[in-house]
Amino acid sequence: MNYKFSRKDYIIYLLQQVPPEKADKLFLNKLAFFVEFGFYHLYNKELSANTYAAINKGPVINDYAVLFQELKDEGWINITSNHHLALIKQKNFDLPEEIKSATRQLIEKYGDLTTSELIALSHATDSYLITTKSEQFMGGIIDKQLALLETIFSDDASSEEEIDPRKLPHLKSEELHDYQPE
Amino acid sequence: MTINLNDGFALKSSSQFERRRKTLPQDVLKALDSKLKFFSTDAYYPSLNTKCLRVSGKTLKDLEVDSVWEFYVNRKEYRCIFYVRENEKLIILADIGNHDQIRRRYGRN
Repeated sequence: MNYKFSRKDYIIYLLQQVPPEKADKLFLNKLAFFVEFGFYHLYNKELSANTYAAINKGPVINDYAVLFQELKDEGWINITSNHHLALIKQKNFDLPEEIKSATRQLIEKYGDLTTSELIALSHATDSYLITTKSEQFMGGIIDKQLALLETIFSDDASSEEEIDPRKLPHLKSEELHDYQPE
Repeated sequence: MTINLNDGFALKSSSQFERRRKTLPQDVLKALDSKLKFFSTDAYYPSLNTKCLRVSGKTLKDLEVDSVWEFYVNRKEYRCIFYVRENEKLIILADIGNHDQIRRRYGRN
């Protein structure tokens, strides 16, 4: 699954997948974050070349204003006075099936939420809270590896039914060591 | 469960855990170390999904532990199984593995 969107292609791809009426700047920023971090959580790989900044509005694409302006200047989108992003032309992406499938599910899941819901959810992510030290410090770039810590992308499956506790190892005290973190 | 894992418990690991830890893929190892840092300060840190497993009193007695728990290392793939000995105030990292490995080792079938 070695495919990584360029910064601009990722925005174009997302705009092609969401209802046009929902595509305002903030919504797209949040969707980009959740799809990117959800993907990283699942596959431990970057989906796009974008980075994300932790600001008071929650996680957003780093330098998103510049990015959107460049897309406008290159004729891909229009930006309306109410911050709406309208895709002007389509682009054909030759994506691996795994990317299509993974992004489709994430886009469906988070694209169904309102901008307000996405904002609230993004403020509660571990990635954002760790980067901002619980919203004390703003402006930092969010390390994508923090996506691995997120629980919001996990299904709540139970393992109890699949483990037979009688098979668990009996551990003798003499074979225990003080745990030393790396 | 009323046990408070944050109440001064020491953290130990089994030889088996250490052996298997060394064989983990690099990205999982990195995630494990991150999670264990959280675990050391707050065993209920939300990302860990720490959960007590239902184990019969007889099995707990055979294992010489008071309870068996697990937390997740990355999404729902790798997880760490740990034991608690309340009187000794001890948490023992017993094993780690992905879904298939855990099922192979301890699965019901």
